[in-house]
Amino acid sequence: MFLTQKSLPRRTFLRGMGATLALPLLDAMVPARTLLARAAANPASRLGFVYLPHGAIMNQWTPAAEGASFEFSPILKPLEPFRNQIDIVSGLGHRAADTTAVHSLSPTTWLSGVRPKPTQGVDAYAGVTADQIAALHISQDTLLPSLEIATEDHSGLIGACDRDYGCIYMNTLSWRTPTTPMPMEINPRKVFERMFGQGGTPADRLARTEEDRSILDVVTQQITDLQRSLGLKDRRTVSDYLESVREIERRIQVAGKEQELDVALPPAPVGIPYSFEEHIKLMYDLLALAYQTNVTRVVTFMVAREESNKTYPQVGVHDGHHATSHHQNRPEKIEKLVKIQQYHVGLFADFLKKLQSIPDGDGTLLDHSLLLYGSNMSNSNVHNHFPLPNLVVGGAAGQHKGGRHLKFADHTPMTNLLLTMLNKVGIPLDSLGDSTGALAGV
Amino acid sequence: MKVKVLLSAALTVSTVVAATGNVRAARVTYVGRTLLGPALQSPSSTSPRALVDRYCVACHNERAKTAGLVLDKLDMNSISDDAEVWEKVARKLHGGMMPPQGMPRPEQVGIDSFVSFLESSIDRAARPNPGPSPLHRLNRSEYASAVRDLLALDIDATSLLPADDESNGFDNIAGVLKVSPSLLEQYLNASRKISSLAVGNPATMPVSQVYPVPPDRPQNEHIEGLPLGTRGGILIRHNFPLDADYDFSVGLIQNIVGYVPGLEWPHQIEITIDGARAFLAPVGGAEDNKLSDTNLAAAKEALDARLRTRVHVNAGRREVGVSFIKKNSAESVEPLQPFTRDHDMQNMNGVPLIERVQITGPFDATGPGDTPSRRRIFECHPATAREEPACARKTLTTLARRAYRRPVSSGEVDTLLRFYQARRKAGTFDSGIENALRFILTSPNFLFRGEPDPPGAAPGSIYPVSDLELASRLSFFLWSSIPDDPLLTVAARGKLKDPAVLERQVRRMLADPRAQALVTNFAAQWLFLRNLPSFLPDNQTFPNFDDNLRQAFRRETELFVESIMREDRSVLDLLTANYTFVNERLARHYGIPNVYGSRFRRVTIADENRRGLLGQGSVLAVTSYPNRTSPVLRGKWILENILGTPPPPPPPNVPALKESNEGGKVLSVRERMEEHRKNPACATCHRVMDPLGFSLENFDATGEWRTKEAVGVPVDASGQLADGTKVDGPVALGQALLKHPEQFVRTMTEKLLTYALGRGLEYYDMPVVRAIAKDAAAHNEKFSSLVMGIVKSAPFQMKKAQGPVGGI
Repeated sequence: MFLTQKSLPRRTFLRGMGATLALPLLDAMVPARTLLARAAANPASRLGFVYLPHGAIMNQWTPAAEGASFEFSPILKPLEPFRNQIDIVSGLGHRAADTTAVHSLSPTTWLSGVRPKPTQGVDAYAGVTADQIAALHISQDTLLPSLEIATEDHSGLIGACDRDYGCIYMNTLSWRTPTTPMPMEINPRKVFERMFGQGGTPADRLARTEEDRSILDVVTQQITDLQRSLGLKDRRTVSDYLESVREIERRIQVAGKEQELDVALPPAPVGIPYSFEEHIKLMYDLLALAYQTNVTRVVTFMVAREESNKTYPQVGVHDGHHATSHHQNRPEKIEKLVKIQQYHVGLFADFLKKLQSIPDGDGTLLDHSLLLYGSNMSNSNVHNHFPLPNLVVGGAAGQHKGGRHLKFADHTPMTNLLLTMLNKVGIPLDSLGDSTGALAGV
Repeated sequence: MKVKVLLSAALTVSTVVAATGNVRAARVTYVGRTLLGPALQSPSSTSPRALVDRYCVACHNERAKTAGLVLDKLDMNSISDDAEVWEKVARKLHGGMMPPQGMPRPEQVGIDSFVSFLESSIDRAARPNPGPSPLHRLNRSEYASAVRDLLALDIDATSLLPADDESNGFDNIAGVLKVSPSLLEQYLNASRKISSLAVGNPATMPVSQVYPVPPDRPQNEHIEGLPLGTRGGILIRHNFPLDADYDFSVGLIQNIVGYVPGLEWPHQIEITIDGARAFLAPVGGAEDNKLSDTNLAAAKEALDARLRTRVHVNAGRREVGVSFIKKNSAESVEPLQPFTRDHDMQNMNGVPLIERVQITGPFDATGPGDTPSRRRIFECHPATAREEPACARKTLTTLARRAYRRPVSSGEVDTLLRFYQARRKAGTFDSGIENALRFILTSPNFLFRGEPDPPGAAPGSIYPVSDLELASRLSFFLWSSIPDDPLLTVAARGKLKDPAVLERQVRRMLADPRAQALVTNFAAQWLFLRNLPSFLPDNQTFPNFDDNLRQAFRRETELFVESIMREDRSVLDLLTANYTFVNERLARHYGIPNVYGSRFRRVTIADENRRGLLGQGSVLAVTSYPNRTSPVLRGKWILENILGTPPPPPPPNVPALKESNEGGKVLSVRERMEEHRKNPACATCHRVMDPLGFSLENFDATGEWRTKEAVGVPVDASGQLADGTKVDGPVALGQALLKHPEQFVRTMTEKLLTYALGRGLEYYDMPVVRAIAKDAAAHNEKFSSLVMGIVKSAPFQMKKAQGPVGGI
């Protein structure tokens, strides 16, 4: 069902393309653009941020013991095979989301530590997020500087957003600039197309690239004309547009330098699977593929959205996630919530296993990645942001050790961990949001 | 009018409604109530100042500043100077949220006349203020509609573009329609796919499109739109890019071990294209059954091979139906289990079910065909190369005029011609047009609605928008799309602002099928219908819920709202109408007898509980949790969407509600909700919100009527609303809501104006809202009177100059 199971060797695939148009073509076979070669001798670190809504039952998340001799807690149990590369990081808190608008602010502040401007959205202004900072530093030579994905969009969420902090803050983990939120894509098909294009022969793709380029040239002209006739307030939109044009032009340049890479590309997904589980697994597979093919080095993934009311019958939970998360300290609700959280951690563990199975340079993709898994809420019953559930996993190309439960002083800013992660992938940043310094020992 | 006012002023709202329960009567008093002049405001000795001093300033004074509101120093003789503050006060009072529980409270009559005093004072002093109108990117649905009207092409925009952010309840709010690199990238890709499909690019590569059947759709009944006499399956609207051959393959559901159920009996699968049979194949029977019993994989392989066909189809959008021929009822397919939500993957019994349909092509294309898109795009078909430039110019000028929604300059057409020529050189005339079209779809002139200030306009000055800008405002409001040629022509001639012309255009547009956008975009968001797809009730609690019912919920409310619009009925009918729209599935859910088949039809409602929106499954479902009702969510929905008095978010650090009393007895939901009232921080809002929701408790989370809760306890729908009215169910709730019909009309006006302007409303918009609602009341609250009121209003007709671009 999932991506790897139907892989076609890429070269075979391209050969087939020119010759056999008469075959009934599976969508899957529509080929990708060729991929950037990767310098295998010099493995670069990938960064990933995986977000779970509605916090965690902390006494079932946090291991009892600190240091290297900790035992995996019930929720984290599925991660045991990766012990050597995991640090469970306790004691952190996030002040930025500390308002009544917790569901709106948790996603937007998770990776920035900056409380955005209170607004329904028109003049939204938020902190630039860690993933986007990373994208600027370590992913400018890849096709996509970053990839933002989710499993649920907000189209079923009318009326659920906070009035002081609008939906715009709830819908993304990722802000490229203070005024540019990055939309999170939920359709695996579109993610695949963004990564590998829409097929055709190399000549077709080159021709399309040229057309894109000439279109963008004139678009730029027209925007500049438009800018002249518009008022001050509209300039921001226009400059965001111009920025976007420049970014796409950069991608076209990168794509122009593409080279063959011997990676078996799986069939393109047909769309959003009906099964939630299948959907999440497919998205994880695409992330692994993005790392593997070097389409990007920075990813963010919201495995479920805030206020999601998905049920989890596969683990015996027939109540909505959000409704359950307001557990009122009732044991049976807490038990259900733990099941949901454990289930999600299990899917994350499957993803790690996959990264571990993919060779990369002198090791595996997991050896060359650094991933944050956690939530920006602690106790979902009271909507607080301390202590946050967090763990960091992956070798970060030799920069991250793992195997420990690290407990920091209460209310240590969560941004300290983000800063530490950025430093580990070679970004010499001194501060981020309300950070007070990198965390020693992670 | 004056007579009416005086007459009605003598009546009190409560006596009229109590005596007759009659909406018309309540409406008369409503006119009176809002038109009360200041002289009539204070019949009692309570002056506004005295009322504020006595009931408000204990908390809202300069020292306490409760909720940031300071009322003790405001000048009651110049209410309009502090309009922003007083609008907030008026809204809280409308909602019955102030004074809070436990504090002294004036008589309701006193509150009502105080609110009237505030509002009429503000309205009298109000000056036109159109507010901001920033650059407006087309949202995803507008993009799709614009493509449809520009190219006669229906596309699935959700597969091309990301969802837009929502603000103020709608996804067409200019200020949050941002641009990002990934969006621009998706515009580039979408424009390529759309232009190729619309023109019919002969080099179109074969691709496969898979259409899965929703797993919770039962396939034992007829599906609306499929041929009569069939059961189950799927109706697909597919764009066939060329006159060519296409492969169709049908996959059947297998259970967890790979077994295809139902093979012991013969069945037939039919594929129709635009209603005509294109394929018929048998499934099941002795042979298949035998093979299946001996070798599951071989059986599946044989079926897959049999359920595949290649058919020549002419280009264009066609309806592909795939379904089973229905057997007569004597050999009925699955009588004992009427609705199954999930396929039981262990199940070996039942009938074959369609899992998915795949369409692949084009192969062996014979040409682009004669599609509506090509007819719409090409103004001419040059016979010789010499005719080409002129024809290209003509075609592209027309396209650009429609896409840019204004006459285009020859320079702009020259730009398009360069794109045309770039592809024409190595290709055909058509491919040149395709390339220019692709550029149009990517151009900011198409993707953005901009309204530049007129030359020399001083920043902050107010001026009327141009005729062409007004045309776009109209078409995006009423159609979510670009203006059509008649509208554009009137505007280009400078005639659109003539009131008679404008009214004629609006009425024409409302009668046009494109006005359906007001249902699918406006009402579907206002009423939260768009949340229905994510309403996934727990299948243990609601085993009968399935996708057919979900679709029926949506369809009922859409048809219902559409009837109000098309028949130009009073918008109050949204709450009171004695009719609705059902098919057999929904009728059975509601307990309405004698409705058969999948087709929706209008029925008169005998059960008063079902009247209006609050009796419809859609609204009741989207305000519920997956496994139970939520009186709080339902109450909140009514406050926000019917009464226009949304409650503030809950205060921080709310303690958990008690689970049991001191004697250890476990408390019911209602008993636990009672705890809300004991905590003053909760009581202010929940006192107002909860009783509204509780009165709908007879409707379960899927909108089915019940007299007992899941645990067998009788449903208790009784409660007391904020103004003291006792209610005990949907009928009483409806009557209570209609005591102040103007509140609903204003709320709907606010929602519609927000949507029309594409921005959140501000305090300075409220006089406009009240004026529109008041005027609508004089026209029996007809739907069109709200629309006309908005179209003629200052914020819709005018714009505030932003000022020139200079240094920031």
